[in-house]
Amino acid sequence: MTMTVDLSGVSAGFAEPVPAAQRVFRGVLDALSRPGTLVRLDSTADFGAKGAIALTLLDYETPVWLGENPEPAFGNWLRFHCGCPLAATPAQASFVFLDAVDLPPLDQFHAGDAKYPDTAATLVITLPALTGGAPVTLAGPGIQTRQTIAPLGLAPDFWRQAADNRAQFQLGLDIILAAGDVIVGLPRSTRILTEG
Amino acid sequence: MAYVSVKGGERAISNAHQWLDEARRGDCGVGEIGVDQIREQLALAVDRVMMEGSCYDRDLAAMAIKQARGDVTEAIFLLRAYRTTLARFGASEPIETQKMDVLRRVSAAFKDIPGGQILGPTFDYTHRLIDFDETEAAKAPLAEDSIDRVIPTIGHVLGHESLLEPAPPEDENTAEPYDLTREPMAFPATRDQRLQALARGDEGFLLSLAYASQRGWGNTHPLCGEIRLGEVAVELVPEELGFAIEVGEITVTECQMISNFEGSADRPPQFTRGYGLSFGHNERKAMSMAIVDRALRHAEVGETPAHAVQDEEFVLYHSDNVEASGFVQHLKLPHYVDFQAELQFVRRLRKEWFAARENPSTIAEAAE
Amino acid sequence: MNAQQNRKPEAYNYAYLDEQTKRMIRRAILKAVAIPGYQVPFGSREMPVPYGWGTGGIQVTAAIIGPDDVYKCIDQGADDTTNAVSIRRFFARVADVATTERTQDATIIQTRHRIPEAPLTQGQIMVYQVPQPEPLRFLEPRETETRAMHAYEEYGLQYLSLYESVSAFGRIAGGAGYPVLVDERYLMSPSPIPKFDNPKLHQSEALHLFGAGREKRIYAVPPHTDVRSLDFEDYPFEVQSWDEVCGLCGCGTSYKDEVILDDEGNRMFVCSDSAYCGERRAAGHAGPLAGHALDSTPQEETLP
Repeated sequence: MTMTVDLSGVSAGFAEPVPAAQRVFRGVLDALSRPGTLVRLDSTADFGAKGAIALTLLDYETPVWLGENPEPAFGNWLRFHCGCPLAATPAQASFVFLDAVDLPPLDQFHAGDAKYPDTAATLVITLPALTGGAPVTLAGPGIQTRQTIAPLGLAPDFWRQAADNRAQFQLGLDIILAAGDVIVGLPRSTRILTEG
Repeated sequence: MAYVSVKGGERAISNAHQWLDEARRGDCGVGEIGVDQIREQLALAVDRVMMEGSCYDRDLAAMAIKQARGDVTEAIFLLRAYRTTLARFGASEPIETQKMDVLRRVSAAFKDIPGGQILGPTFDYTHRLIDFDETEAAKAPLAEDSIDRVIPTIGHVLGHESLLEPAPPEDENTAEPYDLTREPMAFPATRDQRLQALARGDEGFLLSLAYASQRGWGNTHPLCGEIRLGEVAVELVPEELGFAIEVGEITVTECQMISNFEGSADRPPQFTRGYGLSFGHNERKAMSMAIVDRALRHAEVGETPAHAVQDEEFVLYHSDNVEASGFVQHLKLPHYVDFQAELQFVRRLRKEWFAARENPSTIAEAAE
Repeated sequence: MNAQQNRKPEAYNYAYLDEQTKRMIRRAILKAVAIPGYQVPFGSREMPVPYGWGTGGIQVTAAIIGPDDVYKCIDQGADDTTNAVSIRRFFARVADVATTERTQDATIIQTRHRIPEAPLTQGQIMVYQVPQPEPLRFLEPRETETRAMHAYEEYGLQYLSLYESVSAFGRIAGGAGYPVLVDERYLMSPSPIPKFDNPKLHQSEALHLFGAGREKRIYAVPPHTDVRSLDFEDYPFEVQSWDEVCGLCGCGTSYKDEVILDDEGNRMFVCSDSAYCGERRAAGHAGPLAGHALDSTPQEETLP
């Protein structure tokens, strides 16, 4: 992973970083507090929801994994605006940004340890759309009874892996599905009731 | 019956603060003390505030002491609350105390030692008699000294025979050192976490722990290998330069305590160290810290911990006077809600207790 | 609700904390929400108020608050207690935010020791000031031990303590800070709220965030989460109740403050939730002591 950053193509971040980060954070907080609810992030930053989340949560303390062959535009933009180190391996990342098609098996990422489960990675997975796919029913903290979502573009076995992720609670990855500027939260506490 | 609830409104708060300002100033007929006077003439208070406030800035510490009406713990709190808003540029290179420009240096281990004993500005051997001639101006300045002020440390002196355990190796990886002011503590504590917590720990707390360990509530048998006071350079490696540049000098007090160690299956008998370092001139703090550091290292030398001073959770979680002072004093805040819950419970227990005494059969029932 | 035209002091960042600190706290909050009831260690900063006086709650609020929020701050249920006034004034100044005493109007409610009587609604965030986040601390002082107990869900010590209190007192002791099990996994201290308030956490519409500044921990209960107060089948959990109604508004179901009226043992009970009581009185409810001097000048300040 090269340390050189080509700044020529780097576009702007938040126009007003302080209020923008606060609004985006509240959106992400809402999404993870109410899993399965579609939340639109209030941001005009590049790269849609993933860009907004990166600007809001990443800095020099958060190693990031962008896949084996990361898209240079996003990687440079991220390094420039957030100053976050790129993780050498998936397991060392505290944040992961990937398109659903590039998603490796989830067990490659750090799921925390028994005493410090909070050290687990947060995954932001970009999809073509959050509707129009096979429906999946969710339950658990943040969901009154049941919540159904139908994100489009996840690999066939994603929901089995998500169920396995829940099964190892308190360990587990916390996942945010993103399409455009809309996100849906899938924290590790969410139970997957029907596999899509 | 008239009941007017007590309201702690804005007016009550601002009146109290106005009163505080008045009290701080004291008698207006007496000249106001200047920050520069505090900095120069109450220098040891300034040193302590800088150390426990984790911020080496004599003027800020003096301002804090003035604002706190001389309450050192309050001044430490003020300085820390300011410090936390400052940007963090990075970590300096480790200071090199063997290159210290020494002002004072004593060793209790050897009568003569390379570099000699230098008493320096010390209260030691003063007779603690209040000097009723309070003017300082008449006192004559010392002639310039000509001694060599860079002298080897006790570690170097004793190092040749391996009689003294070597200083712990410097961390090979270039990872940032632990930062107590930005990371929560975790246990078992690393050396950097332990020394940071002790360095900014309350002087009185560490003093009492060190004293207790000397009296048998611990097992350190310390001997003051060396105590040195002087100025050291602070160096920083800017990322864009790649080499160290000096950014300033600070005065520090360093103490190396020596304890004997009988040896174990893995290690030969040798003397072990406890380390203390303080901003400015504070030997009480540096020596206490060194004794407590050594006591907390029991696992490294295979000792069985049996006393509070050897319990790192106990020592490190309770050494911070800003945390301790806040939590003890938060008991001033209203606790009506919890107390009402307690009252209810105790009243109910009392009712049952008196009922049971009048009718003992209920006790038997309750026991079933 | 009083619209605020507060000037932000230029020397400090919006909401006091610098952005890097906010990011660190925000990341901790998100993990806390994802692992309900688990205490996330965070790099708690030194705040301009003393530890034990709300530094955890203040940091959590500072990390979440924005200019569109409406902020309410209570201590012991009341908006007018000194520390609540002081903290509310802090955020009105540094976060340029509107403040309110009405629970229903608030988007963020910071509290010490109470949950308001009015039902919380979706979108509201409760922020608790927590003195001791570890429910097991008085049973086991060592963090290394209690952390292992949480890791392996070994809560026998807690049940043993409850059992011992049943043996000693014929019931489970504990009036405030009564331990709960969150989503049947993590044992959690609800902060020193009276156990009267514990049921309000169960399947609440609101998000609950807990900040312990001195102990450097953040934890959370998301909306619609099971929160069960520990008990035994034959000694079920029960909450406080009073024979007396509120002297001012006549409410028979609220948590009460006891007010000593003289030194001859006379006392009265009033709602601890001052905003709730005020609204009831405004709506025409009256308690046995209503009509006296006490409710004719509700805004009057009397110096102690």
